[in-house]
Amino acid sequence: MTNAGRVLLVEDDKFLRRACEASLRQRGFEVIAATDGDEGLRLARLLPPPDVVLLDLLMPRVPGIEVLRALKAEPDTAGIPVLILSNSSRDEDRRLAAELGATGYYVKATLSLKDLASQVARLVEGYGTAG
Amino acid sequence: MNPEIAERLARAPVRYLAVPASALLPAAGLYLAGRFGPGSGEAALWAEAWGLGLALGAVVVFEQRRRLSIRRLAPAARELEERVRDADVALRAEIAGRAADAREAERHRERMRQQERRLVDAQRVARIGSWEWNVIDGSVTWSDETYRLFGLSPGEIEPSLDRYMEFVHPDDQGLVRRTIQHTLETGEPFRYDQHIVRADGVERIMFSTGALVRDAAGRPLLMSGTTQDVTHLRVTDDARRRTEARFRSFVEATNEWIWTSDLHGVATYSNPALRSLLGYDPGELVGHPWKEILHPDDAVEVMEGIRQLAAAKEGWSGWVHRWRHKDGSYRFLESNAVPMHGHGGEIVGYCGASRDVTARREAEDALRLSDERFHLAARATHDVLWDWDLASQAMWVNEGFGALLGAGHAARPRDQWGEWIHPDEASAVTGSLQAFLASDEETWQADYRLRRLDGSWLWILERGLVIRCQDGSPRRMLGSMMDITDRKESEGMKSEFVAMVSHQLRTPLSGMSWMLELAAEVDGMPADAARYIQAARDSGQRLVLLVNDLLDITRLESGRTGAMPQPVLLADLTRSVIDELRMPAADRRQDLGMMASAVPPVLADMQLIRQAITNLLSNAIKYTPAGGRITVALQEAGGMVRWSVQDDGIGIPRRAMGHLFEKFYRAENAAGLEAEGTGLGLHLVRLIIEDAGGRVWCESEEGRGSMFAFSLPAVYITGKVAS
Repeated sequence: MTNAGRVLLVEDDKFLRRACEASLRQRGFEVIAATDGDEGLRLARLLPPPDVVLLDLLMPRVPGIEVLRALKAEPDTAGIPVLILSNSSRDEDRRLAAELGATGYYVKATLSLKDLASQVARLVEGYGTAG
Repeated sequence: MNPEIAERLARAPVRYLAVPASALLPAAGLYLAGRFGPGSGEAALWAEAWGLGLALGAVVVFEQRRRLSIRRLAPAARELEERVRDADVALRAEIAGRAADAREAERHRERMRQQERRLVDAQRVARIGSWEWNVIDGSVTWSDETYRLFGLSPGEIEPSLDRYMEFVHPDDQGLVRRTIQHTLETGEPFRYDQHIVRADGVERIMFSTGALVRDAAGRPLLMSGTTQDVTHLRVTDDARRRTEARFRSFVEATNEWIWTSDLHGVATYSNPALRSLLGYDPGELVGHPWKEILHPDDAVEVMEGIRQLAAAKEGWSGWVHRWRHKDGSYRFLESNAVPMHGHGGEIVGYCGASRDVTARREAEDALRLSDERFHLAARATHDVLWDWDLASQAMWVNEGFGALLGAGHAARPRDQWGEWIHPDEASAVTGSLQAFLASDEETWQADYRLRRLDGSWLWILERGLVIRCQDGSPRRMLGSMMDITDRKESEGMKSEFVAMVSHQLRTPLSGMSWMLELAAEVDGMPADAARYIQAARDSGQRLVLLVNDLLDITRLESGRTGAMPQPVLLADLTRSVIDELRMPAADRRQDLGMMASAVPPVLADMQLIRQAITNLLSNAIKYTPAGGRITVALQEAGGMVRWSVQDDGIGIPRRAMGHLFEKFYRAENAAGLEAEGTGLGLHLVRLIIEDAGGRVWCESEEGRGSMFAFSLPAVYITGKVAS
């Protein structure tokens, strides 16, 4: 299977992480997974940078929103598209994520893995040569 | 009387009138002395009056002044006439007898000329004219003053009965002719008023008197009398009579009870208003003392009051006492009265007016009671009540104010509370209050944190009601403050709880869904297992939707929707939802369609309205049997767009109709079906539509299908109707 792109998945729930990883790998993506915000930030700074970051919001230690803020604040990572995968449908969370520069916001419970994969594929293509 | 003398007299009327003026005096004196007794004061008065009257040549003027009836005077007049004639005859005989004595005769003539001049002067001063009509030859003589009264110069015309009649107003000509005729036939003297039109065209009222002189055989010889302009007198009389009549009808017609009484409180007059006030006819009360119908407790006070005021020569006003109605009940009457004076200036009674103030008294009592209740309630409540007078800046607060905020808080005018309010809300609350006061709104509401004296914060729900002047400016504002700290805290907890629970539910749900999705993609899955996996995915999906509904409801109920209203075309939106639902409808072989006329857009949050339409159409599909028909219709009416869906499904029992839009409610005939439902769908529809300023309702009959509808305010963009 060809490498369709490099995806960083930051998700503390292990079932979600596994399902997501499995689905994306089946579709040819290279997935690096982090279980909390700290790890997510560290992995995002590694080279080569990921094509897309999938970011949970509600996580222990560093919450997703702080990870997003940090990513967008650093020149090396500011250009990476970030999709928020949260189970909060609160408008203030959506608004804040959009303000901080997130590319999309999805409620996991209403998102199918198939749809997620196609969104990621579109972003990777749009991001050009990064992969 | 000798016919010859009478004839002679008739030929010399002026002299006849002039001469007897002095000659009559002794005759009149004799007559009056005989009638009233010599030396009586009355007779002397009469004699004096007769003298005056005769001097003026106007006997009947005197009659009028003394208001003596013509009938009573008629014999006297006749007697006088006869004596006049006798005296005249005697005088002439005397003159003839002394013809030789030329100087004597000249003295007599001079005396007569003087008398004549005096008469003319007297008539002129008194503005009374005299006249004489020789019935036999028809000649008429007027005195100079008579000419003047008719607007003529003395001697300007040749007077006659016909000329006189020309002056009489057409309306009165009949009266004049009848009167003269009557006197000619009966010999009775006359007196009447007649309107004349003077030579100068001015209309006047004349008072005329006259008497007839007959010969011994009773044939009319001569008629003579006076005439006088009484226009001013009559007009004044009329005016006085009209004023009196007006005053009387006013007194009779007014609703006020008008009465008079003597000093002992005995009624001497009552107008008919007594009937409506106390049920008595005036006749039942007049002659009776007030105390008979006064409340026994008040009677003594009233009688004593009258006694004291009469002694002080004063009236009263604003007395309120209880009077017994004829039906036995008591009424409060308020009365005012002024004293009535006798001729000597002494007080002889009272004249007053009274009216029923029972309703006012009862209202005052009720007000006092309600006031007492209010103060009790204001003391008992834990809420703060305040009353702010904007003009004087006076501020009243109940005891709850100190209890809620700490005893040291002095009440300040409401617009000076800014520093007590939490900085996060202070400017918003103050601004909202100012905007409200400047508006024409009646009620105001705000919730905010208020600092207690000990520094702690309370959540307050404050409501205000403003009373405005006619120009709309605020005059007074009343308010209440409720401590809603507990409610705010529990609301916050509820909101956090729901957010937490939904997150906690959604995370494993997501895991389950994604795992099942992966499982469904595994190649070579046995058919049975694939079916089970699909069923599990469907259930998971339902659970996801349920959680979504719960979250939406919580947000809508707390008013934190984050809704973004925009013009929405319901036809397009409905078509899109119908497309999504085509599969389940097709599965049940249902005919799902829309009849839409061109309607304007509505202002709503697209996602929320989509949710509402989805819920309504899903319900229609679920509760309509296979092969049924479901039709959506769109109409515009009265500035609203009405969206409705009609099905021919199982319908809704009558007793369920009122509960359809309640949370977790499911009609019994719906719960019995296999169709899945949470009891949240319609509740959510209601919240969404009402949040957007609309209304939702349902019409249905069990077994005959249902119609669900909502209406939302239409948005008109540049006057065009979007299709």
